[in-house]
Amino acid sequence: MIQFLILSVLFTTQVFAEKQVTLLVSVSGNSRVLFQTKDTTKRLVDQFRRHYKGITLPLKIIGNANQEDLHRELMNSENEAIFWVSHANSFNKDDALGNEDTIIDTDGNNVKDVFQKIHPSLRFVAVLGCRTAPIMDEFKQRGYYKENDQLLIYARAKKINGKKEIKNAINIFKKLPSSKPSFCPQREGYSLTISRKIDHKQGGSSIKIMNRDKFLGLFPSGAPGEIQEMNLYVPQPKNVHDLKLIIDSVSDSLDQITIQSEAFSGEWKVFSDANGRPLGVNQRIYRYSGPVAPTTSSEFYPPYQCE
Amino acid sequence: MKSILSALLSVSIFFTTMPQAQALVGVIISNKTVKTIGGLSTLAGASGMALGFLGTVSFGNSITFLAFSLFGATTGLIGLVILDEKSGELKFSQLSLEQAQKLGIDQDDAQIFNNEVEELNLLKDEIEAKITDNTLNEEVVDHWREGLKYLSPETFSVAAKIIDSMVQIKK
Repeated sequence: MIQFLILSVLFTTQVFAEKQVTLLVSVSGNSRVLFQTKDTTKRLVDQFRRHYKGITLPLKIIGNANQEDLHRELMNSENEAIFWVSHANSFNKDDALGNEDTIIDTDGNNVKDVFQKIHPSLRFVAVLGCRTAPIMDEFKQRGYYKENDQLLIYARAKKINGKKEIKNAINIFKKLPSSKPSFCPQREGYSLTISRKIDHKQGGSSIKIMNRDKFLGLFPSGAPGEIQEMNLYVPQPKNVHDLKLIIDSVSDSLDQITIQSEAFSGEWKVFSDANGRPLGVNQRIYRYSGPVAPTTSSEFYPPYQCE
Repeated sequence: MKSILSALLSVSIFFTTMPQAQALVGVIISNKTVKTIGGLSTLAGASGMALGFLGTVSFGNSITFLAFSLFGATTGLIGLVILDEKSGELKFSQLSLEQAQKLGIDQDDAQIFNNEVEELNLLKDEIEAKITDNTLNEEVVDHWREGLKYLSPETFSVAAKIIDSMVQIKK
């Protein structure tokens, strides 16, 4: 039985802006089809095109998609629907020691947390990988989609056949009622400015910024010497541990990261050994020490760019 | 005719299902993970200490993992099984109140563990990256001894209890 998650589908009447559908395929390599070897991405895209017939919205296709592509498209208000196809797996959570849930991109990044932030104008997100439903269900329970009042998420709780699920997902998308104009939510929080200087000769790959298990944002890949800056927000902390940032990358190009905040007057220090060497492989933890009470009042901010 | 169609359908599904390399079933851990987790357990002197001596082991699911853990803990036998590094990494996660009670862990200790669980996982990953199949178990224990200087003793003690409980369950 198809298990998909209906977050909510509301009535509506018209589409105001030119919308599109984006397919992101992140499955590298070849697959066997009755003694023939074919490019897996091409096979999945061909299948998608076959079943997409009859839909008038323009289709954008991104092959070998990575977490940067995914984040950009999930935050893109021009998208009406996103179909993500990759390997994935989820595991039971009975013990406090177990396998981490994964949705893997072609670069090897675990992109599952990137799905925590979905632009409210998106009406349909299909997460096509094995056992992705528990991952998306958990995100829903944590309240990450409470502003996505017209979003329907399609994900399965079992091992899947990619081609078959592309067909099923498109068929469900075709039956969606037309969209209503999305609203632009506001949230309250405290601003952090995070900057990154890429000091690797080969440049830096994209890196995720997490506030403990909550996805805050993503620095894109960049050229050597490039300085990137991002303004992010955290909610009112209960204790210093709530002000812990995790910088996560598939490679060790974590570069120089600095965190500044007017609201928190203490220091952000990287978790290091006695010699000051940052601990972690492809990951750094920045811990806050100092007064937890913010020195400025909270700000209202738009978590998504709206038209 | 129906069975032929059914067989063809099965073959077709087999060949069109996502490649196996990253499509996994159940809990799978690598030999290096076993060594790393075993090293922590050994340092704590918990009953799961023999995990560290299993050598190259891979587990298809949690029952197999527990069975091997128990087997290793009681006999010290060395297991040799294939591993798959493509699985979701083994991680500690925050303890719920119920889990802490079930494991007999004090609520304050559980809170300290929950506050430091990311650092614990980071240390685990770092130690796992440092070791090879030939690394001596004593070296793994030394890595943990060094790493745990940067965490609260309570976090270490709770982590050891969690590992130990996964072995105890099967006893």
